Amino acid sequence: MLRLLYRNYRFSSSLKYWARRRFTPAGWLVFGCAIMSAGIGLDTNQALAYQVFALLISVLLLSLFWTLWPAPKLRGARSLPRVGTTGAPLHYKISVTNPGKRKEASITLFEELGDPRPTYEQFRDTPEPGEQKRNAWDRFFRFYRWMWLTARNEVAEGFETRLPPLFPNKPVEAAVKIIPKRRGVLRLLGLSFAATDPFGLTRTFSSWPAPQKVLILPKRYPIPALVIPGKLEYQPGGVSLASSIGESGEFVALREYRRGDPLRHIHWKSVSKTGKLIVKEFQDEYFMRHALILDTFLADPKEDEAFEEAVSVAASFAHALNTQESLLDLLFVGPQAFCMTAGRGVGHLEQMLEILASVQPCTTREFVSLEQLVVQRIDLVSGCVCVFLGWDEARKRLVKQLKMRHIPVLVFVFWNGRGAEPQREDALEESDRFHLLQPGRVEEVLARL
Amino acid sequence: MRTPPFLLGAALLFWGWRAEMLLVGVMGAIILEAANLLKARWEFSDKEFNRIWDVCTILFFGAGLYLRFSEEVTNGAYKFFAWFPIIFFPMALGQVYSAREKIPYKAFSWFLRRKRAEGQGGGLNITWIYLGICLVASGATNKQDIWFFMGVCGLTGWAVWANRAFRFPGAAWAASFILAAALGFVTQMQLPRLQSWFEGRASEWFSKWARKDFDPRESKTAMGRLGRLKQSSRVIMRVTAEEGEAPERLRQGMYDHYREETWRSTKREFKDIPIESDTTTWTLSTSTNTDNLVKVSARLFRERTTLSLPLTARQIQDLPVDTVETNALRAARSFGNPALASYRVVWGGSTEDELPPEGADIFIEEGERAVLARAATEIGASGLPDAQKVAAVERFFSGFKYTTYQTAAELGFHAMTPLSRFLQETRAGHCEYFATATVLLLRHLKVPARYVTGYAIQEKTAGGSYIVRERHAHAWALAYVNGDWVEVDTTPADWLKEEAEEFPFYQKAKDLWARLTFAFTEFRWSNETGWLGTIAPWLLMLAASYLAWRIFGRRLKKTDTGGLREGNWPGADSEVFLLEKKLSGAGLGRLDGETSAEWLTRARENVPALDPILRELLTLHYRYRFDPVGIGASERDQLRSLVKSALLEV
Repeated sequence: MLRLLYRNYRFSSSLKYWARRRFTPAGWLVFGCAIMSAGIGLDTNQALAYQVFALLISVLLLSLFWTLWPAPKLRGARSLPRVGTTGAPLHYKISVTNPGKRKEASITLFEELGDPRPTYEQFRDTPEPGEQKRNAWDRFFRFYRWMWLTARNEVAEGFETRLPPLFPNKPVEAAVKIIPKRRGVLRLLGLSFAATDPFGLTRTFSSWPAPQKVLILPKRYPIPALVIPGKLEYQPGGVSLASSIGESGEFVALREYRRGDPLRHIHWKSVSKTGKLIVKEFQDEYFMRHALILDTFLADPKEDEAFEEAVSVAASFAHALNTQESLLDLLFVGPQAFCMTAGRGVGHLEQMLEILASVQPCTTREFVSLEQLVVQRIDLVSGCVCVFLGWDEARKRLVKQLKMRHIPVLVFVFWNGRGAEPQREDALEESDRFHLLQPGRVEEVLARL
Repeated sequence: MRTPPFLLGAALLFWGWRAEMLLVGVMGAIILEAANLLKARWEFSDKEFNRIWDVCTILFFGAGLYLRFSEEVTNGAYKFFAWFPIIFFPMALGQVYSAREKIPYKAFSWFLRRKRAEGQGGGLNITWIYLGICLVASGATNKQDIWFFMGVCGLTGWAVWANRAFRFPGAAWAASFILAAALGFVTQMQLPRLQSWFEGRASEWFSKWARKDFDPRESKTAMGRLGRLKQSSRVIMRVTAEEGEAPERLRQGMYDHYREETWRSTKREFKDIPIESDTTTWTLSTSTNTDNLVKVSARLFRERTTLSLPLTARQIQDLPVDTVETNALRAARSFGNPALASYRVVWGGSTEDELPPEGADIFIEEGERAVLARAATEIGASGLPDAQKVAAVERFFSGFKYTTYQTAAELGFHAMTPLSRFLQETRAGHCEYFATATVLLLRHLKVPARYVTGYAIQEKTAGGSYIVRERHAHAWALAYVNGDWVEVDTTPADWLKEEAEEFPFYQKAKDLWARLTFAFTEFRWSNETGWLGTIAPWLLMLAASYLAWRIFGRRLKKTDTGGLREGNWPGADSEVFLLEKKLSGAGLGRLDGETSAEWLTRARENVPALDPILRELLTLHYRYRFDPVGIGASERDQLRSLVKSALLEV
């Protein structure tokens, strides 16, 4: 039965796709008018609308007949930006060439973004969030599940682009827009060129394979100007973490080696001149360093909506925190424990967003590995933003550890509305903030910060 | 993309012509197409578009309700479709006079209005849709001539030409369109044939929904059919006796031949009745000197209707129709009717105008003879005079019961005809059983008889007139006794009460509602305008002008940004605009959304002469344009001279 339902949905959505692409908006209007006039003209003795129907249907039939005439073979090449952002329009140019011998006009261009229909396994096993609240009819037919899965599988929303007239072998540039819907690598499969019949009611297609990839950054929410409390901490490496060449900025003087100095600070030129171990001395650096802890341990792998939102929250903070004056460490556990630092010229924010674009839920490790990662760096950190997917003992312990070192924290906990509502931990001080986030309603909480 | 200029106007003209509202069409066309000549545009906000759509919605439902109650269903529906261009005119108006290219989707949906904020979501240019509405609406009319198809072809051709694909030569387009038009022409010729074939198959199913007119040639009885008869409250007539008595029944059809549960008329030919000089009086009989005058206000079918008349109708007065015709059995039908007519009927006297008895009035179908013979024996009236035979038959049926409902068990599946079962076993049925059995029994007793259908006049109102509802439809017999036709109604007199016992509890409310809607229809079609009729147009006009003021009365925006010619805003005559014109001639024109400062800074790179004076020039220009105090005469001169020197350099 389920398989029958699946086949049915699959078939009807392919029919819808076909009809949507095959008819232009004008074609739809003619079709609609034909249907309406058929309704009014049902009794041919009472109204003449059947004559309107006869003409419109004939026009449509003839224009469908014209679709036997193939669309011209065209070529296109994209100039893609390096990255895009989920939910924000991605604009780029496509250079289209007409290799044929005659001029082509009235051509529209579509991006091939792949088939968003779910697989049978997905349809069978992945319930829509809140599906248990739907009535028995909906739960049986799973139509909403189908719609939700299709929307979830859609990598981007494409728009048709009208091309200017194409003269033989003269490339033209078309400005194209798509709206990416998922973070990660967006694969653009190819280009479809649609040509209409003489009446402009139906389309035929030719395609040009042009597989290309673009990295889509996570969606970001606006966050009000935010100051995370915390004090300046001594940073032993100074800004030696700087990505610029050498370590000139912080270099103060040379002095003799004392026990305990790192070997990498030995100034070998002076050693060779003086025969003694000479080390470089650096100015001590004090500045703010914030940790952004992203929880990747999903209790139920099917409910990845919360995870996506968590990544968006992390990206929003990465983007919003003032990295001119402070450093930001992004800590999370993927296949391995991961820390990335940005700010004060060290690393780039964009890189951090790119990493967040590819974060996946961690299935191979335990939450303890994130705890270890945080503890290793706890001494350097002056403030901490935690984005948790749950609020169990392990996570509470991590927060307690942070508070034992009096690190101010800002805690976000995702809660899907089921089970007991997570409560603020006693270990938190008054100045620490604790917020519950529900998937789909994150923006309002962040806006109120 | 909007429709090409004048296409909408042409469509409205075409519609006005076909729907016989040419004046409305012409006015609409002028108003819509004037947008091509006027430069003025309104800046409608989303909210104002919502309001315009709400006006259309109100018009939509208002027109629907009005037509539902003032016209017969089918005709009202066609009129409703034909009014669509008027109903949606405000939206088309809003579109063509709006500075915005598209009307936001949310204007059309209450759901989206709540969901989306100002300016969000896509939109729709409705000019093409309005064109489609005009085309389809012009098809809701019924003036059969070749010009309709030609007109539709022309407008469709114009529209698809504007939408054509430029990859094909014009000749390919033309050939395709001619082919499509020819195909359409052939198809539209075949469609009526298809319909009559289809109707032959499923006629009953097809016209289930509309009230059916009596067919004076044939009447299929519901005898032998299972279940409950329809109990419609719908009022179809009001009968008022103006002089003398009100008739007990109004007849519509008269039939003389019965076979297999169907009564037929062997007199199928109808003849026109000559019209009197006042164009509303129709004389049926030569002798009109009787005392009875009854006024009948009846819903009529627009094209053709069978008139409800007393048996001895002599003359019909005040009936504004095209023609009236009758057949030999004096069933009368009229053509070209209003939806409701209030006509007066002079009636009474003898039935000398009725067709005298013929062979058909004595005929009995073979299959029914045995059972009739048995019943006749029971009556035992074979030797008596005709009048007593009739009385005996009436007595015979007084022992029968009235029922509208028959179960499957009652009807069964056996060899007996429904009539035989009625006479021998059940002795219960509805009026068609009684009337049919009476006619056939009388015939068996050698009394010529006919079967009559029509309405029983029963429900008296407080005002003294009678209300006739659909459920008052009735059948009775006409017997020829002593050279005169008399009505013989053997259905138990309390049949209406019997029916009322099976009514649902809300029947009273249904009846009241039906009376109110009939009263509205009467008001709509009455010749006398009451106080409501007098003030309604003024109220409507007032409401319309208030709406127009609310929607269109604000924020007129001049889209002509040329400025110098018709500008009346402060600083419109600044010479900087001359400079702008000159520079744009040199390819350094101001771009959309560029401020004067950005533009002149950009231009400075190409016109170095601007460099020393730019700052001063801009300050003066801006002050002249935007400073509420303005600039003095000397500064004005300075601006002129600065621009002049700049112009010389360019």
